[in-house]
Amino acid sequence: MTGGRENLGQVKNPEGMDETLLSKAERRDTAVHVQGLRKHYGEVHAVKEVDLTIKAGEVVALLGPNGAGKSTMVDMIVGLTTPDSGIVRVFGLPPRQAVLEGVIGAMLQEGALLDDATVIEMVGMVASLHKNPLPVREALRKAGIEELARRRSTKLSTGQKQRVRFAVALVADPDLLLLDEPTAGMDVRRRHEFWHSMQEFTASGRTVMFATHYLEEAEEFADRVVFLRDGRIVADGSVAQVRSLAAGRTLRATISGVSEPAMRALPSVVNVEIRQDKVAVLSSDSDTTLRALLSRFPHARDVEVVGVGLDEAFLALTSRTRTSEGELS
Amino acid sequence: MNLGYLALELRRVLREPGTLLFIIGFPGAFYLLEAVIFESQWPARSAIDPGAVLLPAMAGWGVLISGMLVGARVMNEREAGWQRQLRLTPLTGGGYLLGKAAVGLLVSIPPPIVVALAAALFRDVRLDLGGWLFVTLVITLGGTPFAVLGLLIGQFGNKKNTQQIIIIGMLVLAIFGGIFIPLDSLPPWFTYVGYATPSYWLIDLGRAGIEMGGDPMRAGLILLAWTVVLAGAVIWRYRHDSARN
Ligand SMILES: Nc1ncnc2c1ncn2[C@@H]1O[C@H](COP(=O)(O)OP(=O)(O)OP(=O)(O)O)[C@@H](O)[C@H]1O
Ligand SMILES: [Mg+2]
Repeated sequence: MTGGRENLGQVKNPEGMDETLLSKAERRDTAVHVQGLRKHYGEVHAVKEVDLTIKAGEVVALLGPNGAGKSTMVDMIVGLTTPDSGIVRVFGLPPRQAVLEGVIGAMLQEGALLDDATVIEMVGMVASLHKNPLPVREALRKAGIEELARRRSTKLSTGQKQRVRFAVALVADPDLLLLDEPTAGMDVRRRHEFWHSMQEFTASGRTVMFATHYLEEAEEFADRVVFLRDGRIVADGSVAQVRSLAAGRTLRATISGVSEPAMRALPSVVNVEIRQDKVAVLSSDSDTTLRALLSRFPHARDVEVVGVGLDEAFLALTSRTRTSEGELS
Repeated sequence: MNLGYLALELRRVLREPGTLLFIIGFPGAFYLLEAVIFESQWPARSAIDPGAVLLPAMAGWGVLISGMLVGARVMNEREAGWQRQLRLTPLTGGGYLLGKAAVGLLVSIPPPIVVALAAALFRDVRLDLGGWLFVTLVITLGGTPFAVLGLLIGQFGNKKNTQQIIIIGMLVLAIFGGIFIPLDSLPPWFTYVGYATPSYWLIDLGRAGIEMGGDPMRAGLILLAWTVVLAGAVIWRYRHDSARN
């Protein structure tokens, strides 16, 4: 188990990690299994030691700032990027094999449309390559682009292109859908329409993992949120937990001679940041934390309690300063 | 072979404005132009008709440029990230190669036919049926390594350099294949280098049709060997070229 993880929920199962130990039923139940995954590009460690298990039917948001390693993760899960080390299994299969079986559908971050083909030609071509594709028209309908079928891809807006790429991913009729920032470049209304079509897909019990920068998307459409920062999973929890995190408060105080372990030992503490004598504690229940803090550190000064939005909770978890890094890794 | 894939690939190639020009217009025009130039320098008592000598050379040239230019088009879809999307389908390296090479071959069918028609209609060239077959369909089949070579260049090149590599490659292959200038009118080392190029053997294969070539079996086997090696490289590259760019 890596140190960087804030285990908000999701008790990890140390057994059954080796795929040879997975029974058939477990394979069907585990959509994605990633263990000890690492990838570096020169000096940049894009992904370092990530463990992640996604159950079939889960809708997981992969949240993280630019360069966190989201796309690298997605690329390794679909088998486009080979990890330096670690295991990736999709429904018990290595990525390439899962692709051959038509288990994976993916919408990658970058472009990927042909300039000299129409929408229906592209979706049709991809369909013709898969074993058990959806009818092309149905894929177009599900992506909400039926009326664009005969349009050349050069004549599509950014949002329309995204939905064509969604149709390309859907037409394989996959069990697992990976979406790398699927709504980038869409306005609010389009984004809603997009997630509406998405819900039709997840309603059938299929598994989805999507990378995003938008907290509200994660909150609204995911069952589970995984925070990635600097190539590590720093938090992983249900949407309810993330919500309660958002409902949390930040306590600030000046306490001489304070130490991080002492602060973390306080009840309901989610995160601690210390700069010299100044402490910022993210708490899921500020009343309890404050009482304990004052009784343990009666000399605490400048105490203040402020509410945090989801954004701040997110920032606290994903862009923590280096001061607390030592504790984390 | 996957027909849906092949059909769209072919449609995309024919949609490109330049394609019809270089598979129909170019080789025929080249042939007639070269015939006029050569005729003025041809020894009057020669037993061989320049119209016939140029036929396999220009038919081969048409096959070579069609195959290479069509193949190199994969650069565009790689740059657009489409190849990464294809890698997320069950399309294998072999299937990819077959589809692309088949398109290159289909597009290489018309050029030698156009040249042959020009030869028969405007230069009064007469061959027997076997001869016509050699300078048309056989030379198209012999052009397979060029379609695959174009593909390979498109798989390694980028927007900036692909055009140059293709043009330089085509000229080098043309010179050492004796396409523009007959190799026997050049210093012998041109011929020796020619042996190492697939274009030399492509023309040699075509010349069997005018009874001037070597053993067509040998030329065919050498071209097949070229095809196998280049195809292996294309499949390897398809499997490994999935990085974002
Ligand atoms: N092909 C590559 N060559 C070199 N460095 C790379 C490559 N791909 C990714 N990186 C680096 O790896 C790190 C993680 O990149 P990645 O694209 O996975 O982040 P991300 O979370 O998807 O970011 P974004 O939100 O901007 O899409 C970055 O520092 C990036 O610069
Ligand atoms: Mg990304």
